[in-house]
Amino acid sequence: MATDKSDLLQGTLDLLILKVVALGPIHGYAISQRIREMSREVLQVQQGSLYPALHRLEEKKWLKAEWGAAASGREAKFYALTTAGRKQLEAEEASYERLTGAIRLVLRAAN
Amino acid sequence: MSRFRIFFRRREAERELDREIQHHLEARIADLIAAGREPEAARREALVEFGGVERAKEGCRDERSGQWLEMALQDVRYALRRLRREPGLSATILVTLALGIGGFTTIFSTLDGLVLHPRDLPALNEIVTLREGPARAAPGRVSFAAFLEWREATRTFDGLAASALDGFILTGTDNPVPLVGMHVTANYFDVVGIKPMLGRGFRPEEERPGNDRVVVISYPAWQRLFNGAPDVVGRTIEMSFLPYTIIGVTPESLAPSDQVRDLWTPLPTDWWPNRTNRFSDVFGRLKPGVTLAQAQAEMDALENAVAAKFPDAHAGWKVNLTPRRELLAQRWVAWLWTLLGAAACLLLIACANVANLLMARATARQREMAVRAALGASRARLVRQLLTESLLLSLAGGAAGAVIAAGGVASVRHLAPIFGFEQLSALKVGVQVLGFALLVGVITGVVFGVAPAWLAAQVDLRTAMSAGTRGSAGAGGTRLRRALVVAEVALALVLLSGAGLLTQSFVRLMRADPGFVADHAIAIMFDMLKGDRYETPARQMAFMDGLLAKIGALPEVQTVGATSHLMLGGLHRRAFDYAVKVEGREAVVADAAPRTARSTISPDYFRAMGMRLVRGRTFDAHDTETAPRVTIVNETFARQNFPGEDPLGRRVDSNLGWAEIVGIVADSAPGETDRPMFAQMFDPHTQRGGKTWVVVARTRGDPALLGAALVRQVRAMDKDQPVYAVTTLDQAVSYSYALQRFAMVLPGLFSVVALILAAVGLYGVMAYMVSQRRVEIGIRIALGGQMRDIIRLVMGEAGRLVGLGLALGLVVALGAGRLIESRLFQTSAYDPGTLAGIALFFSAVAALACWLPARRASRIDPIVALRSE
Repeated sequence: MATDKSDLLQGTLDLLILKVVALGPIHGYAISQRIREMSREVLQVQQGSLYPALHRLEEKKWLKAEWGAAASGREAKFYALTTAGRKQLEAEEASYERLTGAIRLVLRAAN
Repeated sequence: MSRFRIFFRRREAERELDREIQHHLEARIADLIAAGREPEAARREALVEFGGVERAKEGCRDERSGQWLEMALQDVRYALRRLRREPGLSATILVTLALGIGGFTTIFSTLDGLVLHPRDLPALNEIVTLREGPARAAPGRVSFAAFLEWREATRTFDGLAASALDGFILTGTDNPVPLVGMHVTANYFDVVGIKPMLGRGFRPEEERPGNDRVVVISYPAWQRLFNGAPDVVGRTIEMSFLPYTIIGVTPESLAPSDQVRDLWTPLPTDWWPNRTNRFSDVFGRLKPGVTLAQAQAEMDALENAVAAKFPDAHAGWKVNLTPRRELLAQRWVAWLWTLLGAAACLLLIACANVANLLMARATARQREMAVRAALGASRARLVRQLLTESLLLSLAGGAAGAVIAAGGVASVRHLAPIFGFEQLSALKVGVQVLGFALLVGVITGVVFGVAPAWLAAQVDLRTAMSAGTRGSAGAGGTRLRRALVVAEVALALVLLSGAGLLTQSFVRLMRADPGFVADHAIAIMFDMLKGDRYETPARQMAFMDGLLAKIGALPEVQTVGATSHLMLGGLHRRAFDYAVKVEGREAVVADAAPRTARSTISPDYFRAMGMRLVRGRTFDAHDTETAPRVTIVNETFARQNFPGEDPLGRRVDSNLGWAEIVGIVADSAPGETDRPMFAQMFDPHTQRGGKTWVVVARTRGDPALLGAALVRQVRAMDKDQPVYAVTTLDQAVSYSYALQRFAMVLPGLFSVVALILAAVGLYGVMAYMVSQRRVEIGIRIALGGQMRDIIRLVMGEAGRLVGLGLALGLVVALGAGRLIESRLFQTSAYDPGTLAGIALFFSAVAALACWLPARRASRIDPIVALRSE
């Protein structure tokens, strides 16, 4: 495990998962790979957090899951965004923008 | 999807979870192989990368809804398995909790039934008892004439009622039946709030003399005498050969106050017109919005008006108003609160002990906890697991406690009426009692399970796993356990010293000279038939003279005597309170005269009772109706009325005319320590007659065998005359001491249990300390430490805990002693002998509890101890 990689900001894992799933139905392993690729290897999701997060989002009805064949031909659990999930994603993206924008302002002012 | 369906689909969900993670690993392995790894290396790398598979699964399960239920069931199953594996410990905890909860619940239910939610008469609090007395003396009963005037004039009461106990005899049957009843004013039922179940209550015109031959019977009497016949209203019964019409039956649910069980009949307005005869119990219901102070002001004004008209009987007298509930409270409720405190102490000790045992066990289970934590159990999960165990234990303890409480409440229900708490005879072992016990159990489980669970979950994986079997709960745990033991010792000492003082007092009471000889004597009681047969004093005297002669002639009988009132605890039927005038000091009487109990006796009564004449003479054949009136007083009377003077030859008047004091008899104990000795005065039956009698016969043999013969002699005098009680004096005495014994037994029981619990707790802590310090002790032994030194080490540690506990306990005990001081007979609450004895005894028990661990410590084999590290 790459412990020197940046830790995810608290609460951002849900946002990242929703964002990745929004691109189309995808299974757990692919989600972790995708996040790594998209962040250019900076963000490495720990599996111990990934799966509980997936189950949590499913429980909240933001994701729906379906079993289907993966690229390898094996059965895998594919997650897809629900309507509620899409709304949640938009809300979280907006609030994340606000937050990071605010942090940026503070950092600039402090310089 | 409902939680339950998810719950039932648990297996499927588990399978899916497995497959999902399996897929992840396989996909990763495939990627790694594609990147050029060897299959075996790829597999290992994938697993390492993933981290704890179980931990991830656990995390997923936690997110699932319905999970709490599933985990709770899992926890319960696991807990049950654990508890079964340690049956001794589980049983100890269970019994401890059951005793604590059962005791507390019993006392609380009693208090609840008596004070907090009394279920007897409606609005007990609004009913105010009115008593009359000289300003500086204790108030007593009211004269009927004064009552009639109050009733007429009052504006603050919705109604004033009066009652007086009386005995009745059902005649007109083969066997006359003695009945207990009450004369009451017509408004009695309205004031106390009783509605007859059948028929009606009394009408005002039935108070008029001559109209009063009507009777309301109680539900039990209706069942017993008439087999519950529905047409009983309107029937005529004969009492003392006079016809009475039954007009009503009171409801079953009624718990009659006082001792009324059978019947009520009107109190005619010409009853006891004499103002100095004060025989009425008076009470009333305040009008809505009227305060006690307003009522008091009105009664003060009324009493002053009465005093202006009749200065002889009322000058300087006061009316005392006490809510009925308070009246009861004055004697008992404080005692019950004290008992509740004791029960709470016991419950606390039980809880401390359970916490202690749980912590000891948690320590022993640290390795298990560490393993489970390593396998992915979160700290919250471990705490939940341990809490489930303590909750299960305490629920079971609560259930067992409820059973104990049910038994306790049942025995209170049986005992209470004996001690005059009729309203407790309705006390139920209901849902409330059981629920309360369970509630106490759950609170106990949570409060006293949290600390051990929290401490146990503070596992540091590395030390716990590497140190082998030995774990450490940390200094915090040890400190807490010591504090618990100190608290247990202190609380147990408080209970023990209370019980010790009560026992000491009881022993002194039993050893105290009662002023009469109880063994080898028997008493029979009867009221002469009403009506013409025994209406004149001459006929009464003739009957008694004949009866005493017949009984005296029996070969087994040594001496026989008779009295109108046997002054023994609960047995004596109240001798009325009289204000006695002393010749030459008539003026002070009305104001400050102490109340005197008056009874009539036969000449041989003192001999039959074994009472000691201090000075003067007893009655003899010369004291006839025509001779000058004479009387005998007890020492208390002499002290109260003639301080520093010689009472012999002085004359006193208790409303029957002047009588000369010819003798002084030693005080005899009334059998109730919380009531001071009272003044008594004895009149010769040869000058007074009387219809209420207790005949006391003394024999060399077994007095119980004499009872039937005595009753036969009464029947030989008059076949219609019933006898309502036969008892040996020993029985009567033990009955009158029953209250004292009762008051002592419960705290005694509590304190014994407390002692055992504290000893167990102490043992647990010391045994734990020894196992914690095995290595240190082993090194000491290896370095030449003697057995003696090791024992001293352990005992010294124990001594500090016990010493601190005892010191704290003594401080609290001194304060708590004041609560029971009024119950103590010739014993101070600070009785140093008792307290020192208790502390010493406690230390001995504590030493015993610590001796076993100390001995085990001294036998530690240093090689084994050191190797186990």
